[in-house]
Formats: sequence, structure tokens, C-alpha cells
Amino acid sequence: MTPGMTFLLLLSYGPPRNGTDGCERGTLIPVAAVTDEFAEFVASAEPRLRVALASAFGFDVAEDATAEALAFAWEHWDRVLASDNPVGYVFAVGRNTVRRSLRRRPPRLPEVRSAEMPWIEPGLPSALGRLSERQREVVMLLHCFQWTLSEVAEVLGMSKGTVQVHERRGMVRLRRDLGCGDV
Amino acid sequence: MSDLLEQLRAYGRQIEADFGVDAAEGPAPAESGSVVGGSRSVPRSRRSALVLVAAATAAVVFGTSLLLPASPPNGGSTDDSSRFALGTCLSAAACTSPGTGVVGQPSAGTTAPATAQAAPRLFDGSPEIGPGTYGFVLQGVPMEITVPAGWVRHEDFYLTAGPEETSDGFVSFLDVTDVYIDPCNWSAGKAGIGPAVDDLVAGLQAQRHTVTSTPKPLNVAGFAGTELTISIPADVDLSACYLGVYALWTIAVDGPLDRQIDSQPGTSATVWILDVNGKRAVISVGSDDPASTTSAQITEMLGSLKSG
Repeated sequence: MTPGMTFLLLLSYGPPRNGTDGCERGTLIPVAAVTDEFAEFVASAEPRLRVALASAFGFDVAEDATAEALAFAWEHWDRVLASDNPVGYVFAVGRNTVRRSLRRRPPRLPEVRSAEMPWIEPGLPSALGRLSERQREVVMLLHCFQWTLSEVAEVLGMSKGTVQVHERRGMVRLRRDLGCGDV
Repeated sequence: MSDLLEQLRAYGRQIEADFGVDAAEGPAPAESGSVVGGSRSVPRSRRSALVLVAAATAAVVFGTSLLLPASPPNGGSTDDSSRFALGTCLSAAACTSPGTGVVGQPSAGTTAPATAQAAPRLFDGSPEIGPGTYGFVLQGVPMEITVPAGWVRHEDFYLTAGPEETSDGFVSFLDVTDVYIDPCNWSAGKAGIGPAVDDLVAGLQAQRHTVTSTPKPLNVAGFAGTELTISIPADVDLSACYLGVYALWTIAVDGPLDRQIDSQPGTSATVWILDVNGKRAVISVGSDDPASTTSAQITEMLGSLKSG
């Protein structure tokens, strides 16, 4: 079951929400408006969170981290809504979750299928893994998954200028690491 | 070694195929087969045009639509004040497509079959594009367009007159998936428009801040549609907008998310929204000066469009 499916099931009850319809936090009630709101958030945020967390920490942990982050969002929906950047807020939750559990182990990125794509440098995943967490996130989201600067900035909770700085430094380091002088 | 950016794109494509990060898990179903998996040396952004699938899911969209108008775009429909530099361009990363130094060659007048293997030559190759007639596929329909000298292609959906940094005009082919309710406060969400031409027209008309002209019926190479001009008021304060971006709409691209297209205050564009065999396609063009050579070139380019 995917995280998205999990949360769609949870939505049959709806997230707790302080002050909504006179209910106290922690009360599970079916509130159509709230569930729709949360469902919309999950539909929009879940794939982005998963890709962003995978880029930062590897694909082996991204699913669980995304699920945990969305579980947090469900339980603290008021807090998420109050944030200026809900998806960035939830991403930070997921990131902290992974950081707590991984204790700084290198990210596990899939190997290049060189037999199929011999023109890709086999050392690319390792080189990406050696980038800083932020550089890797930005480089992978922008260039591997073709997110826009705005999308990256929103999810990672940083300004577009900061994204550009990480991208520039990450690409310089990547080029140097891979021994390519162009781009 | 191949270009690093191309390698990163291909690596991302492999990851998406292996891990299903772009698998359709959102509520909106894909219109047709999503592109997952690995073509080998074709960058992801290119492949979308190859397959020509306007597949959209809530968070996952593939495909790039390309379409054709048969009549010149600027035929009196643009605002006098229009400075057509609508922000076709998206992010710095999205717009920096390194070249390999090989100038693309036009096709020999052949049309591109509407299959995944038939390269839509218009957007296949380095950014530099030589003058000539190119084939591409628009929502499954083989098309041709004649491009003058000096134009540059970007990714798989737009051309600029010269390098983007100094360009004074653009032609873009878009598969618009949604419009933001409020382009300045775009975190408030999208309108959730339907798939029809009129849905997009209504979405744009209802969009906050953006000014639209009166829609006019259009018929391009047998495809009916609507023409209108969209303008971004010059007094929009980007610093007051969410993340400093005026986000107009989103388009389907070959990636895990729809791509957000942002615009600059004080700009406008002429937009054609066409029904191409039941699929909506958008062509958006603009130039800084309607009397410029670039504007005339755009008119000629669009006038050259024909179905194969």
C-alpha cells in the first residue's frame, strides 16, 4: 500500500483540527471540508515529498519518511496549515525523521544501469552521494527530476536564490568529482 | 562523456522507472499511457515529445503537447501594449540547456510518425537550430513548421529568437494542465480546470490579476479553438507574491510534477487554445515589439504550420 493510499483511508475520518466545528484537537470526526483539504494536500504534496526525501537520503527510506511526515501532518493539521509553507514544513518533518533514524549514513542511490545506458558515468550516483545533503537535493530535483526553481524552493523551504547557490556549488563539485569540464 | 545535465536527466528517468516516483498515484487519472522506463540515450525532456502523451495525473504528468496554428498569431489580436516576453521560461535550471555544438538539421520535409520512436525533430538535438522545416508531433498529429535562422530551441516545448537571455520573442507549445487561482498567492492552489478548451479559457478569465482579452474563435489547420491575449499588470509587486513568483499556470512535462510557468509583470502573450482531436493544446507566442523582425518571424513560423 502506498503512503497515498494509506492516507486516503485515514481521510475517511479526517485529521484532528482544533476549533473546527467545535471539536477539540485529537477528535476524529468526519468533516468533509477538512478531509477534502487534507486529501488535496496529500495528493499534491506526497509525490513531491517522496522525491525530495529520496534525493536527500536515498530511495530506500523515502517511502517511510514520507508516510511518517504525512502522518505528522494529519495529526498536526492546524500547525501545518498555519505554516507559511505547508509542504516545506512537512518536508522538514520528514527530513528530521530520517536524520534521527539514519545517523548520517550515506544516501543509497541506485546504480546506473550501465548496460542500458553506457553513456552515463557509472560513478554518477556515488558522486551525487558525496555532495552535501542540500546540494544533492537541489541538483537531483532540478536536473534529475526537472523540478522548477520555484518548486524546489517551496518544498525545501528556501529562497530561490539559495537554491541557485546550492545548485551552482553542487554542479561545480559534481563536475570536478566526475572529471568533466564542460556544462 | 556525455553532457552532465543529460546524464542527470537520464539517471532521473531511470530512478523514476525503477522506483515509480512518477507513477500515477494522484487522484487524476492519466489520459493515456504514461511514459515510464527507459529509452536509452534520449533525454527525458526529449522523450516526452517523442511519445506525445498528454498524460496527466494529479502529481504526475508526462508528455508535451505541440500544436499548430495555421494563421499568423499577431493578427490584430494582441494588446498594443503587449510586450510579449511572457515568462515562458521557467527556472534558471529549466532554461539552461547546454548544447553539444552540433547545429540541428531540419528534416527533409518528412513528417514524424506519431510513435514513441519517431523523433519530433523540432525539439530533438542541441539548442541551436538551423533554418528549415522541422517535423514534430502535436497531440498525436504529425506536424511541420518552418523555422527561420537564428532561433534556439529549449527543452521540448519552446523556441526563442536567439539565446534566451537576449531574446525578444518566443514560441511555445504547451499542454496546460491547470491555472492558479491567484498567480501571486499561488500557494492558495489551482483552479482545477477541466480538459476542454473552454475550461482553460474560463480558468484564465477567472484568474486573479491576469487580464484577458475577449476570446475569439480560431480555426487552425482544421482544429477549432480560441484565441485570446493574456497580460500581467505592470503593477503586480513580485516581492509580495509567494516566493517572489507570479505563477500563471502549470504544464505537463515529462517529470514527476507538472511544471509551473511563471510570468513577469508588464508582459503579455497571445494564446491559442485548440482542440486537437479531443485533446487540448496551447500555443503561446510573444515578442517585445510587434513591429520587429522577430514578430514577423513568429507570424511566418506559425503561418507555416501544417499537419503532415
